[in-house]
Amino acid sequence: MTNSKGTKKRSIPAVEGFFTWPSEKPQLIASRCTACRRYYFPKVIRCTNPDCGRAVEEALLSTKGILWSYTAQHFMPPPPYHPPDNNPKEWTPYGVALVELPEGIRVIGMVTRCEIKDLKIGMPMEMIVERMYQDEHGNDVLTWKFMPAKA
Amino acid sequence: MRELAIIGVGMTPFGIFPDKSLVDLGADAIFEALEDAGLDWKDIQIMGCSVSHWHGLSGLLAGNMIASSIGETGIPIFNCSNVCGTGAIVFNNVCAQVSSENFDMGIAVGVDKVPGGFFPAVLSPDIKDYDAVRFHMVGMPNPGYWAMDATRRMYDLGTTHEDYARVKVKNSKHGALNPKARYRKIYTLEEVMNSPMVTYPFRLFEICATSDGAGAVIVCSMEKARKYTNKPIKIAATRTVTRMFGDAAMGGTFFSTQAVPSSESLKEWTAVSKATYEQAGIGPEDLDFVELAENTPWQELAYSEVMGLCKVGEAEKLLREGATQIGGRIPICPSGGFSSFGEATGAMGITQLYEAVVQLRGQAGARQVKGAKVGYCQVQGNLGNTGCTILVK
Repeated sequence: MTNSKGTKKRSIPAVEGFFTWPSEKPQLIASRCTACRRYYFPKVIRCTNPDCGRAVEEALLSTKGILWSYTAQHFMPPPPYHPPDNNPKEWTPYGVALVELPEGIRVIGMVTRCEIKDLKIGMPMEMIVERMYQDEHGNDVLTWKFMPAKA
Repeated sequence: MRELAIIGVGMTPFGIFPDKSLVDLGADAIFEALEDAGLDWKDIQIMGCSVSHWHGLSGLLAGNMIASSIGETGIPIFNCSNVCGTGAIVFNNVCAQVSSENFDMGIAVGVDKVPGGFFPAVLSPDIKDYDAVRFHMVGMPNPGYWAMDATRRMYDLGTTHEDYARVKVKNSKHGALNPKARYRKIYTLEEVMNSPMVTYPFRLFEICATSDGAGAVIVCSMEKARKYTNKPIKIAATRTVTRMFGDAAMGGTFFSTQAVPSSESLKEWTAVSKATYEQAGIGPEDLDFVELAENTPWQELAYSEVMGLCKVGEAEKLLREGATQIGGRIPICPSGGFSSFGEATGAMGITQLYEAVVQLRGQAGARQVKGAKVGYCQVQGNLGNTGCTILVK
């Protein structure tokens, strides 16, 4: 597929450095403390536990977790949010999840492929990378989202 | 360090005032406080002022801009941003200057004109600014993160939608009695419950609006205070903190929390309350009223627990019993709270002090908390910026 510049359509993260890309199985990029093993997302400079404070290293987070909490956005956010079809009139509400991952960290992300009414604390969720919107050149701008985990 | 007092307070009414600039509003509040204290601008020796994020350089240098419009006396001025915690932190730092005897007379000013609707990101060319990233990649403006905490509270403690709505109803009854409040209508439970869902679980009438407003408070030593007023209000304690590690509460601008139990929440609130009680030499049972940052009903319920007004899980009961209404055991937000004013970010920490002083002087009219002797004010903002003050008659 080509974009409006006539070059091959690209899929690019909205902001670099939050998840591995390009990748068949993208993962969120975190920091892990080399001493106390706590995880931080996004990356930190050093372990922010005041009882530790040691060096951190890069680590990738699991993609499956449990829904700890959620909210739902019923009105379109202001800029710099981009509506998915670049058309505010066609915007629809979506959930935002807070998912607890096995690494002992809870991460927020937009909800996809799930009606707001079907969100239930405790349900298994899975992280994927999906289009946020299409930019002016026709490229897909990507973010991480959470969907109900496949059984 | 010497004992301090508040000898003058002023605040503008809150609303939307297209004909009044940031400088106009700040000046109005300052002149009211100066008149209250019987002082002139040239008597002020140090000024602290909130920063506004929405008005370019005038917003960043609000204190200087106001001073250059009312009297260029060359005094030290600091302009300060700690988001919604700003007012308390400005006040705390003015107090530090006056109590250390660097200065005898200080003024703490909070002023803002906040755009309506959801706060947009404070834009910068840096796309990696985390606050902008939550718009770019998560689609979650304020009050989304409080909303997540509010959803979890319903799961953990059984709080209902009706409980949340009742906070608004209660505070609207207080706001109806406050001539400075923007919203003076008394809401019914049905009206709140029938308002559109905005950011689950919060409905439209449960999310405070945004407003224009300003407040000013004049601080001097208790020894000098009696020259100016026969009702000096003692500053018994003022403390500030920031975000503490390992907190389950979802904070704005962040993308994750440590997976600790829900009970490990609002650590900065718990810590600053404790530190402020200690500095004042009192406990929560000694308070006569509380002004807290009730941007949404969740804050009022959760904060009342972590500051020790009741046990965890009992805030709803306190509300239902009428304990937190004027006339009850421990009125919360006798001013009407953020829900009756709308948030003028930098001003809130100062306008809370205005209410507390008016209550402690016995000048609150229909809103008067009878026999008020000890008042508690606390604001909190993003990144855990929290400030707490205890004032005593």
